[in-house]
Amino acid sequence: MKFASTWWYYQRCVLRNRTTALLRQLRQPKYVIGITLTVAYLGWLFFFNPALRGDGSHTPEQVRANAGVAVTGFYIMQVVVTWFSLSSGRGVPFREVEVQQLFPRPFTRWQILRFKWLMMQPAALISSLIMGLILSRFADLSYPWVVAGFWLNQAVLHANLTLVGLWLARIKASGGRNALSTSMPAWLLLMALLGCAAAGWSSIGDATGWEAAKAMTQSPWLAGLLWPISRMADLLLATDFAAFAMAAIVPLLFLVTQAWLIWWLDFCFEDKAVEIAAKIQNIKSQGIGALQSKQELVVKKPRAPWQLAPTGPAWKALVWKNVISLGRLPRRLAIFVGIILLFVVAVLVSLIVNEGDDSHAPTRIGFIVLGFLLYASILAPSIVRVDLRIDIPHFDVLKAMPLRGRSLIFGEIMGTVLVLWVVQAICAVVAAILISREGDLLFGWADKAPVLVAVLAVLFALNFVLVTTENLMALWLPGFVRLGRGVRTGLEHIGQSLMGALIRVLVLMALLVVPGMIAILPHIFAHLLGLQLIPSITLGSLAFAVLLCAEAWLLIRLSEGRYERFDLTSENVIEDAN
Amino acid sequence: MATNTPLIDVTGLTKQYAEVLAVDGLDFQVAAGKVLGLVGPNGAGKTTSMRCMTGIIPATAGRICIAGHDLDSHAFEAKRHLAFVPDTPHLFDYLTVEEHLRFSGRVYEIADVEARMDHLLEEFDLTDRRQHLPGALSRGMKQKAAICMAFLHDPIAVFLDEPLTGLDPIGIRAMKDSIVRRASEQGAAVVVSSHQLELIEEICDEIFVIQGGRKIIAGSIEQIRSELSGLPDDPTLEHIFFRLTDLENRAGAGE
Repeated sequence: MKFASTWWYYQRCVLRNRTTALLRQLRQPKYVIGITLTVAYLGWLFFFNPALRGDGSHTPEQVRANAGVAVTGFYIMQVVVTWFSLSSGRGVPFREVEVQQLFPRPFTRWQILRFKWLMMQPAALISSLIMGLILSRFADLSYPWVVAGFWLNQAVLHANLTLVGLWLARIKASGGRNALSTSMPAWLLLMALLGCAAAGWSSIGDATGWEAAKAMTQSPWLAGLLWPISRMADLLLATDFAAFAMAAIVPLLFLVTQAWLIWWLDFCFEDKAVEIAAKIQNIKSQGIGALQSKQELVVKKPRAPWQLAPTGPAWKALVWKNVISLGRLPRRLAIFVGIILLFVVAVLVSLIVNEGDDSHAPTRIGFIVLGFLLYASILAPSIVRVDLRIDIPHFDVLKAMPLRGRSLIFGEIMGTVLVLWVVQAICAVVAAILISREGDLLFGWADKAPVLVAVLAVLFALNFVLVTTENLMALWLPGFVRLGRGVRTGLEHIGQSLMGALIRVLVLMALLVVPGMIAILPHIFAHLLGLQLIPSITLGSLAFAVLLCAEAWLLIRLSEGRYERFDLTSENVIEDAN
Repeated sequence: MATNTPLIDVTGLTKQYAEVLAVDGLDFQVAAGKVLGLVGPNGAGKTTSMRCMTGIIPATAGRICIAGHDLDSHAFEAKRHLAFVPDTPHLFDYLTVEEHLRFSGRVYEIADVEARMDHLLEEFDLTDRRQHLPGALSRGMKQKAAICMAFLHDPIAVFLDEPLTGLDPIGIRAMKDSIVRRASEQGAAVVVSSHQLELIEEICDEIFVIQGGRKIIAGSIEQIRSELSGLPDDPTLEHIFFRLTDLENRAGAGE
């Protein structure tokens, strides 16, 4: 009883304090805007999103059956991914606060695990309520039974995660050959799934889409393997209490059996829990920086071109700092992103290259590279954040230095701009080399060179203006921008980020108008004076790029005073900054 | 080396946050070669004062002069002469210790950065760690790296906020020696904020006690001892501090 009352006291305090804090925050416009936009966005996403609406071609029974297949697929995918992630031997992921507050107390291991499960119940309940809303709306399921079923299934999956996690962590900790086999269960499950799917392939026949998926899951081997998961999915399809009670028997048996095994085996999890808690804390405060391996934390002395001369303009020191920092992002992350990009490009190439009768493969690949370049150019400035957005929470170091505002802002921005531009330039040159003909049109270097120059100039200017906008937003409206490397938490951040993005887009559009209008003039004059179309476009593009850069520079100069007066503590964002 | 020229001159320093008056009209000067100890309970306004005095945040009112340069109107010139070591050292995540010093050297345009860097790394026992990123350093090592960055340009106005936090005994000794040497040999004016009263007592020429953003008392320990009544025989700074801030009574009353 003491245990349950402790938990209940904790939840009451958390609920009361969080509500009070939320109400207090709502006095500030940024939180009101953030929460309003978050609610509006999530409401649209889940309830008014045309992509989630059915096309009306299925009967209610079919929709329910489809929902059953989708839920089964969702749960089995969750189990496979969880087993793979647990194969590292990480055990149960405890947080630092749990380690410090629970482990020294007079609790048994079983009680600590129960306490952890209880602590997760508010989040489990909220997610069940949301899932209930979505599924009852789009799959015509009974709301109370979906909520109850989803909640019970989460408990079953949580027990599975705990049991498998602790078991694999024990094997990993034992060392020797066994420690190398912790990914075996996940691989066996995956292979079994693929094998059963292959065995049931013939049962699909001519069916497509949902019908094919249903036929596949009903094939004997796969149905046998998925039987436990299908019983969990059945819980969500219940229409009344009797049906729910019947469907709940199997998941409850799973839950009780797994819980009993966890209690009986009494796994020792303390060592691993402490290690994982420190890692979680690092990821929260350092973001992706926490992914660096120990070897990466000691670097070789850079070669001469990367050394910084002791004297010269201060802004170059900031550029040097940011370029070096961008080159030292965690290797694991770089490899992961590289593989994903290669995969995406490979898929696109395989899909597009052989389309059409008169296809020229290199040209098509060149256009794919160009399209990717355009897409990445728009997204990259908000993702690559090694500039003021990272350094603002560290202003104690920079602001005490003799750096003029324009020098600091310009230096911080240029590191990101230059790195992005070099990557874009490589992609643009590769695209230019590959693109040589389309149909009857042949593209020689006489045509390509001026276009390449124009593209490079415009990309540089766009980077400059985009990164400047992002950075100045951080300076002028820090509450609407993610600062530092830490992970932002709280639902209001979704709305705040949306608001920030909206403002940035509006500012960008305003910035593009004047250079766009003025840059047309040199293009028209050059064309009227007899210059060919492509060189005259290049001329216009260069004028556009210069004007855009001038605008960005003007914004930097105008923000100099803001930098001098900037005080993060009075912006109430210090808690986000880590 | 000590002279009477105030290298740090603070007049009416005030910092107001929306509803909170964090610092309320502080006045003091620190002459060349002198060390001032800024003492006060948690939330007294020490760090906020330090941040205002180093130009990190703007003061709401008051005037701060560093080596004769007004920090508000001539921030660039004033900042060339000062150094600040914050209580929590935030280093750049992807620069090594050596690169931090090179970066700092470039900002202050130090031509002989190499020699000064080697000397400081040696002094603070960081030579073996010069190619390490901050992620590979303990808190104390990060603190030492921040101190090396601050001392690289031989500042004449030094502000140290809790400088000994996280340092090992060797680091503490090096830090104390360095503060004293910078003041006595190089003629720097130093402001040290710390809860370690024995450090303040040991190295500071003057004490400035604040509470609730306001000055409680200021002067040398001897002056303060003579001004206060009801102290035990041969009182330490701890006795004085408790007497001034009334913390002892509050602790006794269970507040």
